[in-house]
Amino acid sequence: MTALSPTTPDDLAAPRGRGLWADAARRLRRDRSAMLCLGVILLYIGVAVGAAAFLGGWNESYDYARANEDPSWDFWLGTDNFGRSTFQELLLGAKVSLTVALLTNLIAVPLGIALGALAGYYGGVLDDLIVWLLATLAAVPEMIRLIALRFAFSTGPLFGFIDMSGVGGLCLALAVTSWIGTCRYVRAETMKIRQLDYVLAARAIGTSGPGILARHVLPNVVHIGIINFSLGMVGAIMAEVVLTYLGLGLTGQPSWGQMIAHSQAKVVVGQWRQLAAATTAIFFLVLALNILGDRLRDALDPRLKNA
Amino acid sequence: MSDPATLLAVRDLRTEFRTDDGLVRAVDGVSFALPTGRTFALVGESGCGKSVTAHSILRLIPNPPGRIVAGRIELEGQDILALPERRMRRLRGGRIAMIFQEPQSCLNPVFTCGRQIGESLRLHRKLTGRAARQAAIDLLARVGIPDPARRYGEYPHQLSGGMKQRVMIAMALAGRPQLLIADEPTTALDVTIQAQILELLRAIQAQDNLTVLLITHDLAVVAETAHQVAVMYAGKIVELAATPSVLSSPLHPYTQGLLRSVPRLGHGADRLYAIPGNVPNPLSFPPGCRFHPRCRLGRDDATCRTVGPPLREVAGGHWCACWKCPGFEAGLETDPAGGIRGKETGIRGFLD
Amino acid sequence: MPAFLIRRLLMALVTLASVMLLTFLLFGLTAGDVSAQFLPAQATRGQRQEWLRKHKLDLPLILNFNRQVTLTDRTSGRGDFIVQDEPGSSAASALGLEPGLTEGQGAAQVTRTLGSQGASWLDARSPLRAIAADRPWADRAIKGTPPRPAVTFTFHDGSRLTLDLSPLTARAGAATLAGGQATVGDLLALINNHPDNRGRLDAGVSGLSAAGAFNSQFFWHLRNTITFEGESFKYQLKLTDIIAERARYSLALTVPSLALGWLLAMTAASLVAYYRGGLVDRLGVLLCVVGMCVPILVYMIVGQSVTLELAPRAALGVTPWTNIYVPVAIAVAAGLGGAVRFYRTIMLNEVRQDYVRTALAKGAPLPHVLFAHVLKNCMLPILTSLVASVPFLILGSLVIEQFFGIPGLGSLVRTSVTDRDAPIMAAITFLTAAVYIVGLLVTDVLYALFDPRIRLR
Repeated sequence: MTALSPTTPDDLAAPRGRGLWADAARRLRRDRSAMLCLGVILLYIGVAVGAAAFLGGWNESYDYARANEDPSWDFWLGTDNFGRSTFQELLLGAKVSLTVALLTNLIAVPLGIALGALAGYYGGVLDDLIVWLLATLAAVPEMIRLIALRFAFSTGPLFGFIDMSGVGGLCLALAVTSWIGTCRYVRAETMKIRQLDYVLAARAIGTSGPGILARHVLPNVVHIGIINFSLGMVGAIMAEVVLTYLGLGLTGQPSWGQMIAHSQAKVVVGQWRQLAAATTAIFFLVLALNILGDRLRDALDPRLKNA
Repeated sequence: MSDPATLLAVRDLRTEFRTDDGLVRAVDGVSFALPTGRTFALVGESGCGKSVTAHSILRLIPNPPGRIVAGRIELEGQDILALPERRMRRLRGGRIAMIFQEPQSCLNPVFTCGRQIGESLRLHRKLTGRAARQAAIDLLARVGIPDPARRYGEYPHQLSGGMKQRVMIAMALAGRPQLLIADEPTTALDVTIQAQILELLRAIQAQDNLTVLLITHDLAVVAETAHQVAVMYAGKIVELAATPSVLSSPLHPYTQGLLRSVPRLGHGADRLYAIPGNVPNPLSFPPGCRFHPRCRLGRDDATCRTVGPPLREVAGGHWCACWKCPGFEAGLETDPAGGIRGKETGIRGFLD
Repeated sequence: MPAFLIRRLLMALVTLASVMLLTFLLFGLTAGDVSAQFLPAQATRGQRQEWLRKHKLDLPLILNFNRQVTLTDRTSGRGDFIVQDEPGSSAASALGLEPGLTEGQGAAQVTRTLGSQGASWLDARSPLRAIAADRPWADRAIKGTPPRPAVTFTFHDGSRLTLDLSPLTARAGAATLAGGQATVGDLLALINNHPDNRGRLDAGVSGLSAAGAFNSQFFWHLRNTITFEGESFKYQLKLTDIIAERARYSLALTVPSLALGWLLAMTAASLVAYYRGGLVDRLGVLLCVVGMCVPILVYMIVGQSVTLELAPRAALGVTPWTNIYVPVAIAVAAGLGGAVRFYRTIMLNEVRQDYVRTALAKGAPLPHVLFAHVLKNCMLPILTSLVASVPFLILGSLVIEQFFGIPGLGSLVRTSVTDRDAPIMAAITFLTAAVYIVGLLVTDVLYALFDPRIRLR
């Protein structure tokens, strides 16, 4: 990583020059709360993978004899209307939340970085085009944008053969709404970097545009992507809950959104455990992601570092 | 010539910043005294702690992360570090005023110049309304702003850099200060404007018998304006004396290096001298004399590498902190803030 | 300044146009054949065609280059003519000529178009099925002799012309006009060469016209978007009426919750920024983050059941006014964490500026510096964030309206999605975007008016 970050003669002369990445990594490793958050997130991912591997049969595990039971040794969080274990549902819910959160950002963040860097570096018509796209999408309020996309995707297969009603479509809809922030930020940052002396110098010695983008611009904007990835996951997890409640989420597999949405009726009769379980699960995951995002920002954003 | 009385004495000031990477001792035991009506310059490379010293005097160190951990700052004998915030506020902009390096960012962009000067007038001279307006216009005229009545209603961005610095000076003068701290007042300006601003400061000082603490890295500015100089390096004062003796016979190798690296007209043929190495990392200053890794005398000297030299008066009114400086062995560790450590003697004079 | 305003206005118009394009892509193109969802199961093909025509879904997507067979009344040059089926026949309907009066509305020539939709390359050799519907031309239910497939025209001057279309069907012996081998040319010849016609009725194939080309789904979408004159698929009502009715409920919910939320958030953020770095700050930020980590749905479920315990009357909404307290309180509580953190960041960002140090060096007390110097500089980003929330004033909160059964625009969006009511979705998307764009425009003008730095640029 250090090889990528720009080094100046001063850095070479200094006794132990550290690159931005090495520096950030060191700060993060020493930051106990950031490490704790990372641990929590990895734990959730582990649970999701494990649940997907071992609890696949939950959906059909009906047992009407044991429906709506209170927590016991057999069922730690009780059972639902069909006698299925709420605890297992909770573990399985991690799979949907994390798949949606990760996939969404795997689409949105690279897209935002790529388009932002291209627009910021080349300017001109390309920039106008991308800014126009940004402005158009951003003019529609986020929730409406999301619903409109889910609406369009649920008509039927896109172009006749791309099925958009499943996880892929949901993530694409979420990604289309969330790449805008990353793209804007990266574009502004790239425009600043483009004016910096070392980029001008690289251009002066004849480095090609793609070469400068890859060697000088991207390493200096990737941190925005990393920060937005962490915070974007929060957005995706929260949006999944709301979309599920509105009937635009995923159907047919257990998710925290469904647990919360379905608990409205159960709370009225005094059954809180589904709501509490799903809320707690979301709470700690989102808290960890939020704090990690903040810590990443502190560690990676050089301007805040010196403040 | 009689010695002027000391207006402000800084004694063993220590200011620290807690950062994520560790403790930064930005100012590490600095002592000096400002004689009334004179200009005292604090010189050094960026990051040597001179601005932090200035901010410490006004207690403008942001806390957290910064903190003044030790020392006394005496304004006419009274320790202002011990004052309650309420009384300190009366000092700021009142008896002690300050102008800053970047006039662009130091003026509030959404208030007119007149309003920003008027704020000082209201706070320190209880002037409001028409009287404040007239006083502000008078101040603008005094700092040499043409058409002051019009400029009164203008916003900072409508003025040039030099004009903005003049507004800053007018704002500083509004509270009728005894001491003016000028933190790199000309660094952000063009050379021609620099000269005008320095001339203005000198004129005002003469008229008001103002004491000026000038923070700068520019030795040419020092030569023109200061009566006395303290050279700072890595949070400590390494040399302190009257300007002529520092400029003509510098004792500390760092001061000598600084002077040699100033380009002079007519001496263009030689290669410009540069002090080797870098300013040390404030998180981990070198042991012993903090300058020794860059010093041609002390680089390989066992004492310089292990024991930090104290600041000693090596000649009358000339302090230096270097094992290698002539007369250092015989020098006394007198307090440049006045009085030998141990308070036997009275206040010493500095100049001439 | 005028140049800036004009440029800004043009940009807003371009964005508005782009949003219209977007809504067409999302709701126009993907709508597909949705008629089945809004018509009874036993609806005839004619009813379906009628429904599609009403919602302009029978037109080409982007541009209408279709040619059409037209009938022109040459008797008067103005006025109207009437089309009638012979008793027992349905030939007029089969040709796409709806029986009834054609009003000329002062036109020089009164023209009727045959066929519900034209075809791109219609000429005399095209088969008749290009314009005729695939339906029986005669109603077999009538007793006696089988009816003739005939149409009677009554012209403005009172004269009549009865056309017998049996040659067209007889030729192929088909039961429908579209099923035979007859061509459009046969139909034109039959009309124009009819012995009784004597030049009264002129049949022909229309050429391309500029106005006709824009008679497409896309341009109707643009028109309906701007005027909100489209009609809901489901409610048979104009969008203007639906939105006006629904927006009242949304406003009743959002205006108090936004105002209250903003006031609370600003107060809390100022407090937290004032004690920055201290215990209040740390505790405040912690509470904000905790608040942000709970899904809004949980706020609502918990809030509702708690009020149900404490004040059942308020929770159940006995009167219209008590119905609003709980949703407003929940909307405020759910949004508070994020808002406080956001405003705190803005304020702390300003607190770090150099002019703050200058003001402090002047001897100004900290509260004065914060509330006079800093707050005025914060107003611009705060204003921007307020504008961003303006669309939600109209839209309301989807989830909260859905949850509490408030019949605002938010819950309309929700039902429109399940109903696949594309015109409503398109209209609401455009409306909220338009409000946002106008809001941004107003902010920019306000910036220009109030920020001295921008004013003179």
